[in-house]
Amino acid sequence: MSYFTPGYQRSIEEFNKLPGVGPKSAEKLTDYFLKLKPELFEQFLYVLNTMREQVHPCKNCFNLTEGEVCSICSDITRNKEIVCVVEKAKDIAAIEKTGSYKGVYHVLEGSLNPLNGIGPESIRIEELFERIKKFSFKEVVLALNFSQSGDLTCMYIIHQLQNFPIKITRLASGIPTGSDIEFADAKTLQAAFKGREKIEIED
Amino acid sequence: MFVDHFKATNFRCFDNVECEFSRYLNVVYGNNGSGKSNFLEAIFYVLQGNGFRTKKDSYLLKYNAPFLRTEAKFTSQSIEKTVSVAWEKEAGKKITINGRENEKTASLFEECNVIIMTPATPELVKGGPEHRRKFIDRIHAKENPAYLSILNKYSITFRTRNLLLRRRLSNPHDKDMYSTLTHNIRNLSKIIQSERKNTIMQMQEVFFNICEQLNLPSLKNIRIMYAPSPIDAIDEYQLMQKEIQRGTSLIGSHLDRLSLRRDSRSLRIYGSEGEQKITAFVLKLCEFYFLETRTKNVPIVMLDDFQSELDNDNFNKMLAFIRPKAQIFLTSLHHEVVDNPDKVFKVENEEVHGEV
Ligand SMILES: Nc1ncnc2c1ncn2[C@@H]1O[C@H](COP(=O)(O)OP(=O)(O)O)[C@@H](O)[C@H]1O
Ligand SMILES: [Mg+2]
Ligand SMILES: [Zn+2]
Repeated sequence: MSYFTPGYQRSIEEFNKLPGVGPKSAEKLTDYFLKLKPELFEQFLYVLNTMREQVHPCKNCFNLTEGEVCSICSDITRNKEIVCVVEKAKDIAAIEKTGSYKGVYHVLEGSLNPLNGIGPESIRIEELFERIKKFSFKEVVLALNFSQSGDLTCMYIIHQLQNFPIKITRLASGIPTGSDIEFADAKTLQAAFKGREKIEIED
Repeated sequence: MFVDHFKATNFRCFDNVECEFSRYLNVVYGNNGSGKSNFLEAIFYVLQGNGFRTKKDSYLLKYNAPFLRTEAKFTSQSIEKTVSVAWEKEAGKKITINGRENEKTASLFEECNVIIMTPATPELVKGGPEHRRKFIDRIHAKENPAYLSILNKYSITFRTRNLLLRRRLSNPHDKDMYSTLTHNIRNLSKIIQSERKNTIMQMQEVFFNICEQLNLPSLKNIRIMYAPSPIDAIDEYQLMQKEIQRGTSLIGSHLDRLSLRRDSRSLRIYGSEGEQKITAFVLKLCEFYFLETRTKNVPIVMLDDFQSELDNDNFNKMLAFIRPKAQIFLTSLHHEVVDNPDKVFKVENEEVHGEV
């Protein structure tokens, strides 16, 4: 049973749903908002609302943007012949920090894991194939996580593109298995880009 | 390697156990049902990250206890290390090695060599080929840790492929995914089969030598026969139809046959109970030899009710084979099971006590 008023309790439950927020922190956040000055509370709601209204995936590459296309797609100095495939928009930030990649991106918004119900239809993989068929990319760099679903996604992409005249490379290992591109340090990532390996399909 | 110090809380029938072990032969005795196997399993758990009678941690938790915890100090290749494995329902398993938290079971597999022989060991000969495939695969993975990740990839590929087949490739992209997985299962099978072939060839030689050394002439003409399953199909479309119909993968190294034969007759079918047992235990000695020589980390050997499975002569021969090299844990109803044990533990009333 709860000692809190219903409204207070509901607020705790909502905060508890946020990633990384346990029941204790949910209570602290509720207290914080309960006592927050009205104008600061308004500002908080305003910022959240505008973020929700304005931030959305780029229509080309699914990177986050507030315009129609993202800053990378609209940058004329980027090399449009090479596309780097990542699992989530945050991975782009990690790669951009290395300064060693000048092509464009494609965000899959996930990776394949059919055992958990995530098939090709659940991520932006058809969109990737469409882009490759439509534009004349010369190279696809797979910068997917070194995890089971990352591996499966790579294999799927490689196999689906096997009859396509395009060079496919994957970031060189050096990034430990099971780890996430987002959290790899800049130096390791830079080396992984330089040493990316061409993938040959043998039959 | 040796476990020097061991502690467990809420493991199976024990509230709290704490022991210092001998680096040689430890005898664990007690009545039936007193908890001898549980005690071995607790030591096994901290070294390998799972029980040997179950893979389910919840079964290992003392009835109604909130969590279980095991920890040990061990020495491998003259380096002292600490390890702990804890489990609770909500948080799951937590493995810590030398203070590094969130380690994986695979790291324990790499760090620690443990060989266990129990009354279930003869399944290696009596049971289906999956027991023998697993036996060979684990031995090879010890020598070549990258093989473990190949096996993992195989298992994911195989399970995903079966999932798609069970739903008759009915989702929109299933056919594409199926063809990727088919390609993949073939590549992985090729690797697995070539590694298995190699390991089995070496195993045959080691098996022969150990039989010679233990003076077991009747086992010397036993052959380990390996028949890799075909991985290519004559007609891809037909294969797909058949697989959909059966709802399972019909190609791949999970179908490899692996048998023990004498004069081309399978021991599984024609061997006597006694022959099956002794063959299985000799195979475990082969495993011991492999781990000892290939990883340079002499395995700890756990023998659960071992002497009740063998006649005296064979029991003594086998014990003599490992005793000079390894730390041993031997359970028995009586403490006189061997001459001059180095340390004796009595299990009674859900407690373990060292005796002098
Ligand atoms: N999770 C558990 N919690 C408490 N007791 C358990 C648990 N699992 C098994 N036991 C008890 O442990 C006893 C068996 O111990 P075991 O080690 O198999 O005996 P033995 O000395 O014959 O090898 C049984 O009585 C069983 O009820
Ligand atoms: Mg027992
Ligand atoms: Zn874009």
